[in-house]
Amino acid sequence: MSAPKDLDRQIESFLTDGPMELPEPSYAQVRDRLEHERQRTGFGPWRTPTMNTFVAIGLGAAAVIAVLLIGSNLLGSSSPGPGGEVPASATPSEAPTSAEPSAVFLPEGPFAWFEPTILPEPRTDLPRIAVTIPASGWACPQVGYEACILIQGGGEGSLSVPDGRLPESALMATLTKSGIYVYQDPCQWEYDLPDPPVTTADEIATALAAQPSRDASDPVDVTVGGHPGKMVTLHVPDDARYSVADGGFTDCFRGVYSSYTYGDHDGAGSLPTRWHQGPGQIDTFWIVQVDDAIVIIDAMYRADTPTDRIAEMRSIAESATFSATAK
Amino acid sequence: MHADLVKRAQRGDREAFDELARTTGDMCMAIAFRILRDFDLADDAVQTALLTAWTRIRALRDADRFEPWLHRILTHACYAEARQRRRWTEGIRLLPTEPVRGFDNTLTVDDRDQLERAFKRLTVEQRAVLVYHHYLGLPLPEVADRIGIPVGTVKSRMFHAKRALQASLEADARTSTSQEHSA
Repeated sequence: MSAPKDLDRQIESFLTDGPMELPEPSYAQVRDRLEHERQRTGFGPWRTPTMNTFVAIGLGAAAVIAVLLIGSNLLGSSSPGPGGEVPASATPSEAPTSAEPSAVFLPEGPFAWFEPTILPEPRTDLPRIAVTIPASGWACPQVGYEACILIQGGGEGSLSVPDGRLPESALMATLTKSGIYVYQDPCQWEYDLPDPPVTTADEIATALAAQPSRDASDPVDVTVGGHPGKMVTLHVPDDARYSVADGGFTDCFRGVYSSYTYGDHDGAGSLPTRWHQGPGQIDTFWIVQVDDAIVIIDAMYRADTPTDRIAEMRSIAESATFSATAK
Repeated sequence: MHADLVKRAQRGDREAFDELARTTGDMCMAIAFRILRDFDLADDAVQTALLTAWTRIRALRDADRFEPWLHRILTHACYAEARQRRRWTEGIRLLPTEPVRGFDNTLTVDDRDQLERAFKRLTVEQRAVLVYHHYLGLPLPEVADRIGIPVGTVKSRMFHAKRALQASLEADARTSTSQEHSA
């Protein structure tokens, strides 16, 4: 080997050698597999041309199934009248010509929150969740391919964050058997993925409560559906700079302020699972250990959300029951 | 450049994604091979990355940034392939890599062999920063973006990678010299 006086040049020369093409059979294989791979739902707190009227909830799917219950205040004319009457704007004839399916209104009472009727290809290794719907007017538009979104008043299954406003109230659940990566800094989440993920309710609650700028409550013990867990309430700072034009949280990586991602992220690094919608958002997490799975039920609201609405969300969260998981 | 295809793919259009894959797959293969130094592993990593990109494309906020985003996915797919390879090949001598094209005449065969050995002694993370910087010619902040790490970490990996390469090459040179003397 010649003297390594110009290592950079040698590296560059060395790296020019090598294949420059993906073989055709590989392309064909990718194409074939695309037919069987469903896209994960990934709504963010940014606007898209088809999602600029409603409220976006950050969620991921695959190992995690997210379910939302969204309060009516932000839905404007799409909200039901007294007694949950479906407004004209939510009827099929006036629904937007979006690719997203329309809402399906639900009766009060028990509701299979996560089960085969909702998901085209449900995972058998995660617990099924049922909750009790306490009032009429909740609907379940299916968004994307995997996540059921329950919206009071219907909506069109198309969600996006309105300029600078937060949802008045929403409820979602995530499930995983692979643990949770709780970001050390929810604003600079890309760079601080801890390893390994935390896997118990206690660890997750402790890690969430330790996030800077969250003004977190002390985690407390809870029991949901007969399973032990922790409850903790976190805030997004009121003074966090946020601009829809800038794509979200101005000072955060990619404009995203995120609490966690799940432990089986498999390629894109630390893409967030649960990200937040704007400054001042409050989230109460019920983190429940269901056998070897973790279920996180997340009630999100604002400082001005009526207390009865918060109580309603709490009632929904704590009504959750879980079926056994396949081993 | 790909924004329209990306937006269509985000709406579930598989044809659009297939086209995206075909316009970006070759470069992905070039990158993955250079990081992994193994054709089959690189092929697997690219396929994994493309499928991951398909499943996650709705999370991509800026359609114009599809390629950097895909490269980050690809980098992590390479890490995963390398980890898997380590598990399978522990204690097994690596076979020579696939014959390569585009041979660079500025290096002799011996030079190339030495560099190949030295390169394989680097961690896959170190190889990744070298590939993005010296093969794609990206500035360090852009390398950081493609890999998903801070610029400081890129600099640190670059420094340690080059120091390790240098040390490997020098050790190889010493071994060659002593073998020649003893022959």
